Amino acid sequence: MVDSQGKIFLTLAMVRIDDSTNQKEMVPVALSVKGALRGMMRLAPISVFVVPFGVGFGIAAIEQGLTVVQAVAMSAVVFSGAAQFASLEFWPEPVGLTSIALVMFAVNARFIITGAALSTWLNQLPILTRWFSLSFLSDPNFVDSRSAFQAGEKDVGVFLGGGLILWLTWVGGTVLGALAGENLGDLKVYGFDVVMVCFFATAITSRLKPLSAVVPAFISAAIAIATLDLLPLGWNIIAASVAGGMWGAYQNAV
Amino acid sequence: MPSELAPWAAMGVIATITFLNRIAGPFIMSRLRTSARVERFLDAMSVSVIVALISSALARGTIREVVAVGASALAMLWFNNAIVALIAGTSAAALWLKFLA
Repeated sequence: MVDSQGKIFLTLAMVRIDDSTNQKEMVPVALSVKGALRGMMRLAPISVFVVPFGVGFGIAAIEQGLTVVQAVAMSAVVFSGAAQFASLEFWPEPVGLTSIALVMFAVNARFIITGAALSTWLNQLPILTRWFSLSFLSDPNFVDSRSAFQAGEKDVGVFLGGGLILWLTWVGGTVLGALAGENLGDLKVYGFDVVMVCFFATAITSRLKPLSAVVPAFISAAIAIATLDLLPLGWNIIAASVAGGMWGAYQNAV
Repeated sequence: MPSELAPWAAMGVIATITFLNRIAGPFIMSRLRTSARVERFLDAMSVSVIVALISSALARGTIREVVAVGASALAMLWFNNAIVALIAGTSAAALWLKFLA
């Protein structure tokens, strides 16, 4: 009884201390053109490799019966490889709008998680600027800007610029693929298809140095692989990330 | 609905749902009281997302993808340069396909 009350008191004290430190650490962020250019430069090398992915989507979209204009428009307004490839399953007769909506929610639900992980910085922007920047949220610019922010970056332009250059190369690649189609040959020969997973590997290599990050990483890997065939497309990522996050949240709680 | 409009309607739904997913995370977080525990959750979760993306790509792929990821991770540790690491990874995948697959 006393013990549990003591614990409650301690927890409350912890929350108070945490709040004061949070306010102290809350650095004001801005969004500038200069920052966006910096973000574009940071992701320029990786975005070159997005072109072949866009080409792949362009080719697949034409095969599924989309017109060139529709394929390019989809890349421009959706800007999500996973969602777009998954949506092609509904073509050439995309009429079940409710099931399309549900599949899209499932495939892109990881954006809820990556968006939440950037909220500390993004939520300091005015709402329309925040929503505009978030329209360009994708895996590479999440990975890149989250580490930049943690290293002290205060310009959300880094996130937006990274997204913009990925968007440009994604749309550009789709135009190429939709127009030139199969003439471009198999990009696997050059190893371009593995570039995204390699990019994630380089991003994680330095993040795994603190030992506290290793256990959630193992938990996440195990759950992602174990649930790959059990859960609908994309949900193994959610299950794995939330489990890793929970471990991180409670590991220090005594 | 005329059938020529169906693709555009579907695209509208796809774009809208994707956008809502993108803005949902920060929206939810703006309603929550942040604490050190929430911060630790987000920290560990952001590492976990990346690990989960890699692991499921590798689980779906072949040894070629594992070799490529291994080559980039090693190159990253060795040279501490992301571009060198990406070149190492893609070259490893290309060479594997040419000589060993």
